[in-house]
Amino acid sequence: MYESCLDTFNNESANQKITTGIKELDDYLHGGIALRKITEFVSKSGNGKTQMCLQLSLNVQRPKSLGGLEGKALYIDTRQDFNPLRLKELATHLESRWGKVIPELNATKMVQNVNYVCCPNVPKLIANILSLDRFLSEQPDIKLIVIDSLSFSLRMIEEIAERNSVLFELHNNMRRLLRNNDVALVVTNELTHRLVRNRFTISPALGDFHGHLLNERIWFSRAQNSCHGILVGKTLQSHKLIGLFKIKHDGINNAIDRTHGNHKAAKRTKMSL
Amino acid sequence: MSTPTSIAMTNFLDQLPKHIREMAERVNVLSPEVMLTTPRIKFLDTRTKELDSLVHKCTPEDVRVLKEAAAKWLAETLVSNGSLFRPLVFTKLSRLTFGCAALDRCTGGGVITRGITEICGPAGVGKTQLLLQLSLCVQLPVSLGGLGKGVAYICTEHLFPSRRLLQISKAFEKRHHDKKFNYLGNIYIEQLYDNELLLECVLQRLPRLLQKYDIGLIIIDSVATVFRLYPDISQRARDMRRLANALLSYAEKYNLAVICVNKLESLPCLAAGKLQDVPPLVLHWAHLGRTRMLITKVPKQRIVANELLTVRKLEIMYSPETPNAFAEFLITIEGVIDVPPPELEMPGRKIHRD
Repeated sequence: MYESCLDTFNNESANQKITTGIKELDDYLHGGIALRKITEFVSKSGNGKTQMCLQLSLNVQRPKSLGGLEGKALYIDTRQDFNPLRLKELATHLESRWGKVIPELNATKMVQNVNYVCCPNVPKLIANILSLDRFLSEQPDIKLIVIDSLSFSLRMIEEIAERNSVLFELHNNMRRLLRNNDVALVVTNELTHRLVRNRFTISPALGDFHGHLLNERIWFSRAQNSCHGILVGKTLQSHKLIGLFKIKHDGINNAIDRTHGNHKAAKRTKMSL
Repeated sequence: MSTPTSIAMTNFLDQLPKHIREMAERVNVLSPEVMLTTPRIKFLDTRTKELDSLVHKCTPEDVRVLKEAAAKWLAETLVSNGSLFRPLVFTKLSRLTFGCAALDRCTGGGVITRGITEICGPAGVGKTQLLLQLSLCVQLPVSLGGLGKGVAYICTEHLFPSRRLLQISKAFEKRHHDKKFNYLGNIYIEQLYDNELLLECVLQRLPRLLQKYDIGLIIIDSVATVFRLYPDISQRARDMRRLANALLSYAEKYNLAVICVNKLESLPCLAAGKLQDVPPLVLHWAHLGRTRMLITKVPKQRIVANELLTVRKLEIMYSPETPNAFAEFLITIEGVIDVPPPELEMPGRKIHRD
């Protein structure tokens, strides 16, 4: 029957989230990446989308005693950007932090908990997304599905009408999947130029309607001192900067040193998409 | 179509229920790949059909069953062992050495044989020199950092510098004098100055070359000139994508490295997310590349063999593997070498030793 808003609110708070490792982003998302929702990361090349996806594939395995989901991840790779060595590097750093709680969760086990599927072309990608339902029932531990990157694959379809119909059928399937399973879906997208009122503006690929079908859209940008900025909001006009991060050898770290209070200075940092 | 594929397809169609198979045959969609990418409406479209052929009504549920069967078919042929999601295997990612220790260090071993590696930089900075050296390094055996294969070099700007290549190869032979290599014989060169010719070369002639000879490296020097001459933006974007798709498929199929050279001036500054009236080339191409390296001149000089040379810097702009490191190098008669330590400079200068 119907449930009251209070029940829904309590359910959602109890619903655990996947931490991103960046405090400002976690605060904005009320804890992290939410389950049963589609979150999109969009940026220019080289700003940390794949690194964030790798980091999330490990963060989902955070032990329950530390407030995590203790789940597994599924990484669907269309660009072959996935680097197992980098994943192992990140896992080794996390192992030193979590190893005290669960000693058998070592770096190798963490890497094994990330299932990997390579989809170099569109039919394979669609085939695997349609098969997700079946295999989530076989491996119910999977709590995170990453598709990196959705736009790279779909933009291989040259005919726009065909591309859109495939995209919307995929959305249909992904939504159905999220309704029936307790998983989070993370997608990455690219930036492209679009002609808006005779001027070229930068906007995410795959179109406006796709943007509306997402639950959350997070942009990464490049800032000074090899930092990256985090912006949230579905369109270029409505987004705002909420924080900065750095990508280091041990993963994604907050760029702002809160103890010295220079986060205000960070907000004034010059940003470029 | 090759025989194994048609046999596989017939097997797929046979195991479908009868009315679903007829539905697919009516719209002439026969392979599982096409079934997945065809929109649902195409199966259900009754406008063009004769009334008497609509004996069996097909429902959206039928289309869903068809697509799921196609998905199961394709997903199953993805891996050889029963389970769909195999646990992570550490795949060997081969790398091609630059022939220069500093560059190898900063790029994590050299050029990777996955995706498109882009090398940008202003004119005259030494991109072609580096590529010539790579064309020789790729022929080295794997134990020395090469791939033991040849190179396909597509030149679009200037005349291919064959004399310079000969010069560098002589130095190469001296360095590896114990191995007998026919360096120049394994370099396949194509010179063209036109977009259509480039596409035709990459889409049609290159696969034939790849089948016939053992190629480990594809170089396109450069991409920017050819694509700048396009009047129609959407056509340019489409052709760029076709080019990139073809290169990526070769890289995957033959495990080779792909290097595209780009000119730096095509990166406009994007202030406040708006680009004024300039048809852009940048973003579309940028997303297709996997690794991007920038070569620039550094305001430093060194004397090597009585010649004053300007130091060059190679910087990683983005790469999924390595952090944004950079390395410095010099270009001499012998090719691309490390920058020698400052002790070798002119005597009489104050040298601080740590």
